[in-house]
Amino acid sequence: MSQELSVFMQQLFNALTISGVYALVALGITVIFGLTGIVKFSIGELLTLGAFLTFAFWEGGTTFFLAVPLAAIAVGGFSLLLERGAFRFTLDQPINGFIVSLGLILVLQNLIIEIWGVGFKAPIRPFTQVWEVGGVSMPVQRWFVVWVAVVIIGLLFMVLRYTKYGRAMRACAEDRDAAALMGIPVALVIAGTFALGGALAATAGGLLASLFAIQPFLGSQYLLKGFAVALVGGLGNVEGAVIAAVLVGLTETMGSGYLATEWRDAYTFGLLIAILLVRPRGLFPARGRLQETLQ
Amino acid sequence: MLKIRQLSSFYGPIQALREVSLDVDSGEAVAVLGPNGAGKSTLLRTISGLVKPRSGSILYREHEIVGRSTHAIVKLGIVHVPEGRRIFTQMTVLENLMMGAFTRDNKKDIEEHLEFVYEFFPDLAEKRRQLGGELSGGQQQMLAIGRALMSEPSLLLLDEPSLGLSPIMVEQLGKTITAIRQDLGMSIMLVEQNAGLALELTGHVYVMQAGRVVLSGATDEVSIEEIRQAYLGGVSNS
Amino acid sequence: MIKRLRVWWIVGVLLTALLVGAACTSDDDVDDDGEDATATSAPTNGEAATATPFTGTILTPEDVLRKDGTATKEVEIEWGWMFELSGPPQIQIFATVTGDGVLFAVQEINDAGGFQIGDTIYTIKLLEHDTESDPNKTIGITRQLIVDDEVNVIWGPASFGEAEATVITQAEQVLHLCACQDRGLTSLSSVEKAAGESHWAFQTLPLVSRFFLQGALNVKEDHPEYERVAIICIDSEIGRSICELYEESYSAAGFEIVGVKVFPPGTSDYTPLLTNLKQQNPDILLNFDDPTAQLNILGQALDMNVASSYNTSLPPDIVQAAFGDRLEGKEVTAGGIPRQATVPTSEAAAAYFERYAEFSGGELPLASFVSLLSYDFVYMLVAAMQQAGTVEDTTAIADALETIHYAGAAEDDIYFNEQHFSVIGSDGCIVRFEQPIECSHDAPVRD
Ligand SMILES: Nc1ncnc2c1ncn2[C@@H]1O[C@H](COP(=O)(O)OP(=O)(O)OP(=O)(O)O)[C@@H](O)[C@H]1O
Ligand SMILES: [Mg+2]
Repeated sequence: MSQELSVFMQQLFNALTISGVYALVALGITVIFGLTGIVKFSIGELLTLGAFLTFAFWEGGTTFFLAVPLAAIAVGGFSLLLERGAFRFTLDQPINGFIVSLGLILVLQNLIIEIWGVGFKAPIRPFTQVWEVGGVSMPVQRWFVVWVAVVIIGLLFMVLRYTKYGRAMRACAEDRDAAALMGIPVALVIAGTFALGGALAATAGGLLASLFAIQPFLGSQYLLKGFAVALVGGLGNVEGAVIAAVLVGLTETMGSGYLATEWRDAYTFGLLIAILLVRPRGLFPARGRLQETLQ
Repeated sequence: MLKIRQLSSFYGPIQALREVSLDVDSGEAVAVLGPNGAGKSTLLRTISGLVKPRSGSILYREHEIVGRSTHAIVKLGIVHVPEGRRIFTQMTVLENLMMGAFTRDNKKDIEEHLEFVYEFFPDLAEKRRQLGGELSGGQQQMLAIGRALMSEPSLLLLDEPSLGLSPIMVEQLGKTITAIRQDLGMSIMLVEQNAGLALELTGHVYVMQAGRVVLSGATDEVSIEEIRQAYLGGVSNS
Repeated sequence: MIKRLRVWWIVGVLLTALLVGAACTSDDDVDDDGEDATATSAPTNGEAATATPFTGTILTPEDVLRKDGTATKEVEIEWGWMFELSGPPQIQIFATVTGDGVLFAVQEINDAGGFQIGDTIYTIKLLEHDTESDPNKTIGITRQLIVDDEVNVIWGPASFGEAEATVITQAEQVLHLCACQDRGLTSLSSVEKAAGESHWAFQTLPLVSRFFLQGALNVKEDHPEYERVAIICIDSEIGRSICELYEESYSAAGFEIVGVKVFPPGTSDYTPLLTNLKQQNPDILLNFDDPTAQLNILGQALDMNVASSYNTSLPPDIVQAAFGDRLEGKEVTAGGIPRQATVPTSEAAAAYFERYAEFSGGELPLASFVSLLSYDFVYMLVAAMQQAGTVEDTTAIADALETIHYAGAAEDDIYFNEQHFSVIGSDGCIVRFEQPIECSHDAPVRD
């Protein structure tokens, strides 16, 4: 392989990993938004919580491969409690849900600092090998993260498409009242979606803990990116989020790899602005009654 | 079968139903007529639990259903086909119909019922793989009704099904509704602006105006003139 | 103009590196490593220095506390003490521990019966103030200390309002010592403009650039075959200044800078720019940043085999624990850290930390090494007063302070250079796979 090509392949591989993580966060944001119209900014903190819980389970002797699902379940449960305790009272006024979620960011951040302190935790690396193919360095851990993301996204798609409850979720997202008239327990589905969104973010956090050093403010950066991805893909659109995640991951990686690195976020948000100018509701806008009333 | 008494519903400070009382007997079709904003849709929404009434009672087969959640009411056998059809446009026809069967668990039952609905609406069978949003208005209405039938309701609430349909489609719809009542033995509450159609299909009529029932009677006993009067807010119960 | 370095940032970096170090190092290891370090340090000690060591008298704590029994009077003098005891957490931790160094030294001196000048024994009373990290409050406290309390010595603050306070103290010819960074880079000139002179201001935090130069010289000495250097810094005023310092220092030490990359704050994936830098075939990859970023950069760079040697300010034990067998065939130098920041490299330092732990109620506070940015200088100031024969004539005391060399806890030979910056060396360590961490003390780069 020529050097240019191997550098390009390396950047492609770099982009892939980060896209996987962005996709998980964006999916968490997008499923919740699709169903409730709430932009749940506290997802970022749920991600951080997932990362730290993964670390805590791992430190307590659990293997990493079990620690991540445990953290996801714990955070999913916690997110469910948040929905029951706060967000369900804001379903008719998504803007209030947004405000609640902003407040939660502070509370959760303080909680995390209270428990784990302001310091960082070194990454957990179950796989330390690095594959070298044609000058491209591919840490096995990164492949692992990519595959986990792909499998989770695949599973999510299957569930949404082929299971009764997955379809019910889509029905609720499109038209909450009509879904209720089908006998779907809408409140339950919404609560479940909050749990799902939290679990997705926590999984992203757990995976991040295996790639990078984590600290209590980890979430905000990923929330921002996840939100940008969700917007580019069309808020509420699951397929859109995945495509947009790859798009944003590529833009960011290629931008900082080949152009000035310091403008990395400008590339992402430039892309976001450009896309929103042409398609104000994202590449693949979700179509539902809620979206129509909100826009 | 359905016994509504002194039902009052509000949207915030706006009172949309004012002490409405109304009955639907088993196997009977009842029409609810009235001008725009009379509260007809609100009445159906209150019955299906989408709107919580402030006072009054709704007895369904002797059970009080006020306060129950929508999905519980669906389980009891009341299915509401809302105004504007509200089919799931992003789902296929088949998926829409399967959503209608959400409350049912027996796979074989569901399959059988699906076949039955397809027989009833051959158009849907043909387009089962298409997205709901790609159907014509008439087909969408058929889908909305077919979807409702999937749960085998005892009482079907239809909100302005003829709205936006061509005269031929309206005629077709009329036949369907009659068939549902006669062949399937379901009770029907039909909200309509199209008084002609409603009177043709039902045995009892209620006319609403500004949230109240202002006229009620057997279809063959009330005259079009009386109904027109009631629309304008003149006549009281006969 | 040299960029303005905010002390809190540097300190945040140092601190966090240290916090983790403190949390992860067991006490036993510290002592052992300390001994090893001093042992291994002997050969390199002093060699990297650009000038010959000082040969005059180096004062000791005993010299300062010595009394000849002829004193007939006892006098208590008052010094001002103002630090950011509240405010942003980074600065608060730093300021509190720096202030602590003054409190501890003063208590030791008083407990030893004070210090003697002629026929008088002096004890010290500190007038303590919390500046709340508010520059205006700092100015107010400075005025109050000078006008109402008539002090002629002020310690602190660490950052907020330090330049403004310096303008006042220098106009009033008050001795003003702080472990600050602003003064070193910008405000000395502004103070000079404002007051004509800044003869009474001393900075106890050594210039960061010295640490960088020291690090560069060390690397060149250890690895003459290394030539190509790549640098990564955060995209902020501070980060860019660090990049510049790196470029200057490593160029001065004879390296070729083959790539400089800055990344936006909040980055965790550095692979795109590491991929880019790797194309330049660097021998050394340099990064000095907040600890999380350093850990991420180092880990990803090791995975990608970007260079032969990596430089970081992370504590060496953290590096070893975090990367284990990923260090195979690679070398990480943890350098550019002020003295005693990782493990005590002298007996005096080890003894200091024991006494300081006792003073702090049994346990060392976080980032306890920061107290050494003021502790020794209290003794030096007293020595200067003794040499000048006065506790009042601040000009005479400042004159004396310019000439004093002192063997303290942080360093065997501490002094102020012509610009009134303290001169302290650095401790550098090398981490290799399955080998003990090698630390050596490098004497400061002398003027
Ligand atoms: N979501 C709502 N919020 C507030 N007011 C509402 C809402 N929906 C309906 N209303 C008001 O309640 C009253 C009854 O409305 P409703 O939709 O029940 O009338 P309708 O008889 O179905 O009219 P149409 O023939 O136009 O469908 C009207 O005054 C309407 O403006
Ligand atoms: Mg209506």
